[in-house]
Amino acid sequence: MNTHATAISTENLHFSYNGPQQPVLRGLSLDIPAGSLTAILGPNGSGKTTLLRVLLGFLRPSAGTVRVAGRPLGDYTRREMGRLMALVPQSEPIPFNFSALEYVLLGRTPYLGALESPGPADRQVALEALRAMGAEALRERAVAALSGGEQQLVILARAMAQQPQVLLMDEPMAHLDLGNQGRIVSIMRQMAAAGVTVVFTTHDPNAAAAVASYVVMMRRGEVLTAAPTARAMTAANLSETYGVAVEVLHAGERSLICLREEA
Amino acid sequence: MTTLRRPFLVLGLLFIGVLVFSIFLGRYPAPYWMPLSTLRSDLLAQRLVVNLRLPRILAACLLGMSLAAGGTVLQMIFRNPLVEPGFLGVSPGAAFGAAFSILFLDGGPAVVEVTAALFAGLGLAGSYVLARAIRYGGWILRLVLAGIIVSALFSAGLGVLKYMADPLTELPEIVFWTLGALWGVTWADVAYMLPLVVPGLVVVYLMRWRLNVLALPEETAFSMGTAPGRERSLLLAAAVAAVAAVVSVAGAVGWVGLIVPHVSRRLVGADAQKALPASMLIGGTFALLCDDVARTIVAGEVPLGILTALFGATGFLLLMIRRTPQVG
Repeated sequence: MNTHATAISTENLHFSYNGPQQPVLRGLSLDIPAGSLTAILGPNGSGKTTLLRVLLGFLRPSAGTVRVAGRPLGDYTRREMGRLMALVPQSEPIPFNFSALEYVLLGRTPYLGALESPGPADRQVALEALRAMGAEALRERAVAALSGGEQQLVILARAMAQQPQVLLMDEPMAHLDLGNQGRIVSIMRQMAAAGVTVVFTTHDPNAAAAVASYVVMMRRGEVLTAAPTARAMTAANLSETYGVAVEVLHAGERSLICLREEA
Repeated sequence: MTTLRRPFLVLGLLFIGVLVFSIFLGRYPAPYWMPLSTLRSDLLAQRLVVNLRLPRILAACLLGMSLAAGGTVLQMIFRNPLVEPGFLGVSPGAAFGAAFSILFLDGGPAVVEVTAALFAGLGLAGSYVLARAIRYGGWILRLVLAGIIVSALFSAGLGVLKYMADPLTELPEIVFWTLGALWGVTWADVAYMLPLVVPGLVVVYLMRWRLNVLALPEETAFSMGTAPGRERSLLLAAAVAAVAAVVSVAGAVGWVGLIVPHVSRRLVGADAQKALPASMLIGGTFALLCDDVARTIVAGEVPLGILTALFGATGFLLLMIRRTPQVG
């Protein structure tokens, strides 16, 4: 298991898609505690997805470093990175007619050579991942024919078959109904409890407040606040992040974030 | 997902059956069938089988397998079931090269083959360079666009060459070539194909499970510890090398590479671990059968491309209108 107190740390990250005139990340530094359930919270276009891709190593920052489990990303081989971090993207269009089990088995890739195919042990891991999602009954079904919620479970199982230390999720609840949101949230909590650092992006402060143990607030490619949820989710911080007046209502242990009504 | 029980036993037996059957099929000593007794006693029949039929049969197998494997690889990597292996400028390049050689280089079939292969390679290289230069979309989209542009340029060039060709001598030869045929294939032709076809197919076969991962969206494939750009390029190069080699000998035989991968996925499921070898077996069998008809049915020679299109499209239609709960 992870012995470092920080799972991911970045220092002075800069990134842009179309040259330095349109920066997406502007000197971004943050530390994500190991084993936390961290929300990256910010308005649309604040650079959340880009940050996730830079953390994954898929996009290379023009300046700055990303360290995962204490080592710079560049020190890992591609296969090591596949065992270290898994990704659940916002949308993962599934080509062709894979069955759910075939699809989850693809998550074993970082444990196999380029010419190898999965064996019985890999099958066992894949089945366990499906079982952990409560989706074992879907194993022979075609993934493309599943409902959105079921697909999300299969994609999560695919990521878990990688047995990662860090799970990156891009807007994991954006397209799901309430029941499926609840299912995904309880799975995310289970994973964090099992020692996996779960990092997810969201534009919804209520999702962050309800799920996360640690919140990173972003605006225009910079970190405004990074703190444990209770400390981070203040009306002042949220108002600054979203650029509108926000208030936080408390109901017992829980809080509800909404726009402040003009009198 | 499997609609056929023990698919590889069935497909393998079918392939071997057709292979053996093809040896006895032909127009000597009489149309359609050569009895085993003739093959035992007739010296001419033995020579004909060894020097003409066997290389042709082998060439048909290589052709079908390469096109079907190439089709599977390209459809998966481009995540598009409508792509075929002649894509990326390969087939139009080869056709242009062949026509160019027929018109301007007086060298017979061997020169046509080499020129076709050169231009097939040129088509691929052109697509690649163009894709790097295009400033629009992701890598896959750029490759697709570049392939379309290069193909259109070669098709235009082919049109010009056809227009210039002597309508009595050169034009029929060009048309025959673009329709594709295995007429007059020799052991030398087979030997010429092997150095590209064998390594190409071996690489594709060995990486067949990996192909599934590389068919996923770029960032997902990356997150699973692959190097998608490098690995996709390797698979594409292997597949296209095999296709360029067979196309330069057989001409632009269409439809095999488009349809056979679909049939294969219907029979054994989408997992390329099974779909790729099944595709190769079906492709080999299909090309053999079409070529059997091409060389047997009339005294002359029916262009192979006409038959693959005819039977391929008919079979495809039947497959698609059958009621099955599957997609793709």
